[in-house]
Amino acid sequence: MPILQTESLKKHYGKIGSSVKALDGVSLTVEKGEFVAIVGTSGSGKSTLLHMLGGLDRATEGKVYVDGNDIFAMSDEKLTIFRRRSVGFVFQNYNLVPILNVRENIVLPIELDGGKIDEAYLDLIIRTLGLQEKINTLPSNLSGGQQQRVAIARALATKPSIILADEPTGNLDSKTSQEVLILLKQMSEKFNQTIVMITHNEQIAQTADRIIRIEDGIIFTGQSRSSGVSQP
Amino acid sequence: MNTNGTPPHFKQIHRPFLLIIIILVACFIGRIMFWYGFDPNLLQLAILFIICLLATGATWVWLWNRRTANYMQTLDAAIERAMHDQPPLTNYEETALSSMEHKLKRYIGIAKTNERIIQTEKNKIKELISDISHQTKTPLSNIMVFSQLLEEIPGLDENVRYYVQHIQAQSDKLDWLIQSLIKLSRLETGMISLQQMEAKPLIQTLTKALSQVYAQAENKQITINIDCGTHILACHDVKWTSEAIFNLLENAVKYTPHSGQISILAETNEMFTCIQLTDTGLGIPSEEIPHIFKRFYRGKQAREFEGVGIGLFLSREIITAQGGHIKVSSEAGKGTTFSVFLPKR
Repeated sequence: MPILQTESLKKHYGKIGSSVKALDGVSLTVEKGEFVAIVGTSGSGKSTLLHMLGGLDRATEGKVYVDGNDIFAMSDEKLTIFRRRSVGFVFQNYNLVPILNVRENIVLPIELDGGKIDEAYLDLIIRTLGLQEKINTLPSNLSGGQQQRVAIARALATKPSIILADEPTGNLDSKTSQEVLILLKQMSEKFNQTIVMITHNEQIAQTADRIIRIEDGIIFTGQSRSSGVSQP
Repeated sequence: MNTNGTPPHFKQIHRPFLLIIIILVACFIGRIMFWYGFDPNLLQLAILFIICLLATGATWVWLWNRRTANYMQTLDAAIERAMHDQPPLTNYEETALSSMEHKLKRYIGIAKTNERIIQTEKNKIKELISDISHQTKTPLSNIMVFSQLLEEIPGLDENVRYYVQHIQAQSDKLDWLIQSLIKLSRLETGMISLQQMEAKPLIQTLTKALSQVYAQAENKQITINIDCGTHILACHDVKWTSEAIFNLLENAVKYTPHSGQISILAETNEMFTCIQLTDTGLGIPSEEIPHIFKRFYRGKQAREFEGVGIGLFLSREIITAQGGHIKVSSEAGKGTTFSVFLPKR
């Protein structure tokens, strides 16, 4: 069963007549547990698409289904709760809260949701991401790779079913990028999560199971790198 | 979950009831006034009555809300307990909550039992594979020994010698396949224990793997460069990792033409230690790359060579079982680079 599905998704900016078509009818399906990379040049509409998938923005036309639910049919309040519970975001510029230490940053989404912290799970993600010694450090004292690892840990903290990553390695050197990607992939395999990642780096996109190419707001090709989603 | 707030539909229920009470009281007082005429005392009494009624109502609603919130919290705790296999919150009480808790517990119990049954079945299959491989080993080595003895008999017919050689070649192949299957089944039944692994120098593991392919490489006059300092550490199981590296190296030697080059480069990064194995061999066409790590997969070009397509699968299993990752980049005709990432800590 597909976890993410869009139906002729359109997003136009500006007035009618002189509008900019950021997305012009995108239909795609992402299966559960898949790791999909969206590639395209800047201005091709890939970030807009990701924002639509995560319910950060509403489409001009078309629908997005997450787990069978039409997310644009939800009220703003419901959409916020949906984002908090089922989607984990990882951004290029990390978006960590500078006055909170690493641990506080990671548990922030859980506390926002008013839930109890699952210490065993938290410990597991912190250890897997190699952050156990940095737990009380402020983000400003961390390297870029470490900050992005904290951001990944934060995205995983609420056990979301989907991780949406917008150029997660955009600010990192190639070696660190490689490591962050391996960790992202390992974590998603461990917790059976679906990843949709935006990148303009072909080399990085190769890590994914499937590459979707987007150009001028439409899908160019969506070749599958592997026929089966889960390999033995 | 916000357990302290009132669910919105509760508020919606309160409103019409509040309105009905106020209208009823107003009608009642209006009627009395209509009958007995206007009387300030009566009005005062009526207002007092309304206030009392509203206060009682408000208290009742407040208490009711608190009870609902408590109920939700109990429910949450009960689910939490059932999920973590702790004793139930309610002990066979005659309440809906208790009945629900036991239903939930039973459901979770069934799901867990099913999971256990599937796991047992899976283990049985693994054992079966392991048994088959072990049981075929003895007869196979007998076949090999006797075919060797047969070959050594002097004055054999040319045809017979040809057949015997065929038997030998095929049983060698079978032997190799069964050896690989034994390794795989050992790997899958958890012979690698992740807890006992600590950071060790990588150079020993690399040399161990290298020594096994050295003769083959020398035959083809392939030069092997190795760049790995003694300070480079990785968390790994020496025996299994050298097996994985050996498989990759063996492939590199197999698919690299005469007087080619293979280089091994190890370096440490923040989280992983990376070993890059680069050859100047045939390369892998990009459409085949996603499939090469699959069990028994053989590339189009690779079919001309010996092998059954289990080496890369085995290597990947070994590396991922240790919390590592294996990745390939290749250009057809130019060569292939396998990158093995092993955790540093």
